[in-house]
Amino acid sequence: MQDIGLWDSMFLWRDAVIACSIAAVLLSYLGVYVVLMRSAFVSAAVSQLAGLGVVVALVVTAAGGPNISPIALGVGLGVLGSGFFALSGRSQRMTTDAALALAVVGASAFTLVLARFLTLDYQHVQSALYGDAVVAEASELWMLGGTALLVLGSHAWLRYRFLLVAFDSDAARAQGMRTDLHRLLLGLGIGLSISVATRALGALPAFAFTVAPASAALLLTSRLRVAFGLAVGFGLSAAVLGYYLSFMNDLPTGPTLVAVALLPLLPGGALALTRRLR
Amino acid sequence: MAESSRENSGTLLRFEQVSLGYRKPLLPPIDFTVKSGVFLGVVGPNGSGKSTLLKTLCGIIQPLKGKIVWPHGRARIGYVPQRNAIDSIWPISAREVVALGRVPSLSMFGQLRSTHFEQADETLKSVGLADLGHRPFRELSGGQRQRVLLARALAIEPSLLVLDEPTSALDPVGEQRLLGDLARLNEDKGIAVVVVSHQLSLTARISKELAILDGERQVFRHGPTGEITRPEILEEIYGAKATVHHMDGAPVITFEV
Repeated sequence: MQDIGLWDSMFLWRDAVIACSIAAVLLSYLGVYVVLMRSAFVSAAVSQLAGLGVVVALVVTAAGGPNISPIALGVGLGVLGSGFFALSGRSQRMTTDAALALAVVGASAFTLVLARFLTLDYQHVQSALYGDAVVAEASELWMLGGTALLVLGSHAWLRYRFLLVAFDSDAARAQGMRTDLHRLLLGLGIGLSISVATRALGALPAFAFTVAPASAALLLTSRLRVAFGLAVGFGLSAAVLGYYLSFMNDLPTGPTLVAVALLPLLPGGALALTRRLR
Repeated sequence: MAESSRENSGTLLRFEQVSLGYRKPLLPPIDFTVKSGVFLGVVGPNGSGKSTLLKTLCGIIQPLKGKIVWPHGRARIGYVPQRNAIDSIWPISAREVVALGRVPSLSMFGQLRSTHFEQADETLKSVGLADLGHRPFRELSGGQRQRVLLARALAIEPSLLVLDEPTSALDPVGEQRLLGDLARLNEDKGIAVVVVSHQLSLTARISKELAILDGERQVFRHGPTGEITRPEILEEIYGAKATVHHMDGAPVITFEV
């Protein structure tokens, strides 16, 4: 890769870096909610459900059924799943983490079983299922951009309502607020973002961007606004730096993005340890 | 019609054949009324259904059967949850907690503004936490957190203040101080107060009315404090011989075990 200059080869990496950056900003911001609501595995569950949707669409089409868009069904199933998780916390018999674990296990199993019926090569199925952070298609960029506008726009409008229902849903409900609707909107936004980002970057980077920058930020600060800012900063830095390191050193892009996204946890963890020892 | 209107004049809300519970009813259907300006203590043994009653009253959970009638429209409810209901992972300051209480009353496109945060500071001052507004909520003591949650409930200028075990994290002095503050809010501002507690004597001392319940024995009683703290009623609920003394006109209750 070093044979041609970084800027000369911009046509190779520009769209992928933009896609990574949009996904990182979006998921790192939403990740603060995900971590604070103790639903970190929502990302894994939504990714697996999106993957199941993709395989179902491919199998149905291959079996001579209607031509279903794998992306549409994947994103649709991911969003539906996140809507379900957003409301499942009110159940007295099933905790959110148990529902998430069941979704991960169930969706993974069905995806693997159904994938056996596909005649496409392994690489194609993997790419269709979990995306590829190395390159970004124009359609993925548009979907990511549109999703970011929609979701971040809804947060600009409903930010305090989302914060209240995530922080103390009962108090909001006691004042007559429609908490289920707001929890659902918050959950759908998270699900849509994770599903679309999973398609563009892959399941592992999407999971990492949802959990790692927010966790690091929450370890470093006791201020909510600062936590959102730090998380977004960490996520964006990890996207750009991770892609740069991967490109310059010919490293696998997805795992490099994840490794760099985990770096801010080091100072965060050290600070938390110092606080505990004090 | 005139009779019904008279009945409703001092009524804030009325339970009509309400079955409480999540899936199964905790008690036989109950009828009772919360009057405007009342100080109602809700007491009973641990696990008796006190918090379920409170959450049903606030609309947090729906009755399994029956209905809750608000003759003059739904009151503005200031809800103070149990202290451990708030997750301490949240990096949120005391003034942000209080200001967030204003969110449900914002218009559709409304946002919290600096005035809301200034009002939050004022409310914190009124509950004795003037200097702690910028402190992270999770770093406050149990008593201070309870006062922040009280400030959040007061910030919306409620006509009904509902508190779930507000003294559970407090030492005896903190308990008396908080309950004294609630009694003053009730007397001076006419705010109706419904407070759940498992501390019978303390609650009976400051409540004008008591509701006493036990899901296990399927018992619910509600009435003026003097009437409900009769030994035979307490024995029925708690299953132990009760003695009621009076000190400065307030009941002091002991059980033989």
